[in-house]
Amino acid sequence: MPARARTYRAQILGVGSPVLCDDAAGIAVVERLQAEGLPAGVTATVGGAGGLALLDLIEDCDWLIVVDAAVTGSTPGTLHQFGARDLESGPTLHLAPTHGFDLPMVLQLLEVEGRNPPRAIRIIGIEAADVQTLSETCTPAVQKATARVAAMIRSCLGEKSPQPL
Amino acid sequence: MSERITISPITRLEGHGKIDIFLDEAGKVRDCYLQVVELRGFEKFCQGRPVEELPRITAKICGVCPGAHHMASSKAADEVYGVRIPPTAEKLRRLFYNAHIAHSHILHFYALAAPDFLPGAEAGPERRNILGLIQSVGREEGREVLAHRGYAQKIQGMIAGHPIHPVSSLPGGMSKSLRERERAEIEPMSDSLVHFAQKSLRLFEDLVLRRKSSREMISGDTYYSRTYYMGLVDASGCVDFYDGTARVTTPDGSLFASFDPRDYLEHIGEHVEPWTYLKFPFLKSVGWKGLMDGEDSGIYRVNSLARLNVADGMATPLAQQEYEKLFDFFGGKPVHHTMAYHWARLIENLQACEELVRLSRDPEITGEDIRTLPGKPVGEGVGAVEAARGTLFHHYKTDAQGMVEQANLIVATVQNNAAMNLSVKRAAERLIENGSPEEAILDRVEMAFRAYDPCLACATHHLPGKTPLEVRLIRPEGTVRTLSRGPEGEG
Repeated sequence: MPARARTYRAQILGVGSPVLCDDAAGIAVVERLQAEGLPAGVTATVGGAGGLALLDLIEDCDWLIVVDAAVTGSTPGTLHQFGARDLESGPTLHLAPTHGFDLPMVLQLLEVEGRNPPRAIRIIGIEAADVQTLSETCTPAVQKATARVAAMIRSCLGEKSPQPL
Repeated sequence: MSERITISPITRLEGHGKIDIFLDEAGKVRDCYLQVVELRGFEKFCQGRPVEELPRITAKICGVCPGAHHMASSKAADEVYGVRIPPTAEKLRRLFYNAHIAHSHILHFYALAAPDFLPGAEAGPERRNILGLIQSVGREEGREVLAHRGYAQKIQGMIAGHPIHPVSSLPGGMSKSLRERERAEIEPMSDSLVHFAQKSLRLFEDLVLRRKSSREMISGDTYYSRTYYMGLVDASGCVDFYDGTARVTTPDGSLFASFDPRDYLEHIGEHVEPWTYLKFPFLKSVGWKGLMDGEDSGIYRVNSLARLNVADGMATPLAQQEYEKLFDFFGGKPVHHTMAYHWARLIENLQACEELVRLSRDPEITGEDIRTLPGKPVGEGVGAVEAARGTLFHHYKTDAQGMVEQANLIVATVQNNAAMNLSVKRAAERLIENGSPEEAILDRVEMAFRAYDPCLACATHHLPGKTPLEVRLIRPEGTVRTLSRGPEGEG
């Protein structure tokens, strides 16, 4: 039996705080994609601080790409990529398994609500330099990284019929 | 003589809640320090901005309590302009804000507090979370929990103008009135929320009050501190989240101070310790005497239990009945038992939901007069609200054009900083015997921490309450045993 078509073929969800410097890395990626125009069937969402709020923001889609800041001790701007199941060892700031609010948990709660979680999930963590100083701009290394991530996502999703907003 | 270990804040891990427990030669707890990480640069961030921008921008600091910052900031900005908002605007703000409180309290209880009791200690840590709770109560009940969290979130979004970052409150009132079709959606959700709030209290009774071990935990002396309390009360002396007079009571329950939040600087001082960035607010007229409780210490507590302690009652009838039950159980006021915070939170949730019903039925709620246009700025304003986690102050000074020159913020959680340290220390003392810690000790220390529902998001922007917590046991000879919960390892 063929799988039911989803509302979107892909959703890019950027999580983080818009005013805490590099914590906004995920949001910066989403805003860049929105400004450049999204391919057909793709939606991009600014996601807040994660947690159960994700329940309100995850769309009915085939493929969910979550972008978030990460603090692992690597060089700022380093990209970490993993699937939802790898989150046990992948500490991004707003999705890490803090014993109750991790992304796999949110996906299970979606099912409890009777909704369909995305078929495939990819998480991209951007290594942050500073996530404590109040600022609306990211540090230079992270700004460069957000451009790279947006380009990466765009090439994954294909450039067919881009729709400027 | 125990070896002195110096802790440098610079070497501490960022983004973690960290508890250091120092043991003496006999293996008993000598000292205990709870460290959280503080936000930097608030004033610099606000300087030069038009003050009307602040209610929107400060709400973005915290993904957990944006509503509280949106309200406190709006009220401070109202004062900067010396304007009184129209009655409908206040009702809309209260409708929004009670939904915010309900959301926060429901979330905390079901996702954080309740799993400690259901499935409880017998279940492993991987099941002591909202999924484990849902597995225990059943899918239907689980859906009900998620649905009501969703209602509270939806009501906020409808008034605030944005699903996650509230934007509609401004100096002078609101930018958006409520349409009748929106009001008609909110009313049944509010009714359902009241029933759910009552059901939650019955669940608490079953899980905690009717079970011997839980009942002993809540009423025993492991989680107990005799402190002063602070909260906002309305003109009748009842709990009010949005507005009121700040009231402080002594450890034996008498009135200590009653002041306009504008005068907070006369009453609240901030103590600094070298081992943490986070300050320790304290009552100036009592003084800072160190991390100790009692009448002679200026440490005070905020958040749910504190609000119930200082108030003469709840503002709504059903919540008032539950308030009386709580104080009957403990045999009077004030209640110093820290685990009662969870119970108080559920009583407050009931009040918030009753208020949602009342306001959604108020004929003025769909009124169009929602804004008093600000004129020339007076130049200074303080806005205080009861955030879910305690009193929150925003204080701004502007130039003659309303551009911010100075900004100060006292978040709720920082006011419980000293008390959290005390509670953690007390729990550790009673549970660590001869320096042989177990998984249970980490659990119990976490429970002390969690009762306060600390919004480390305001301090660390992490997910609510469940910040990866690192507990270190440090022996005199310098060996460190780390018990931690979080990505690096299941402690």
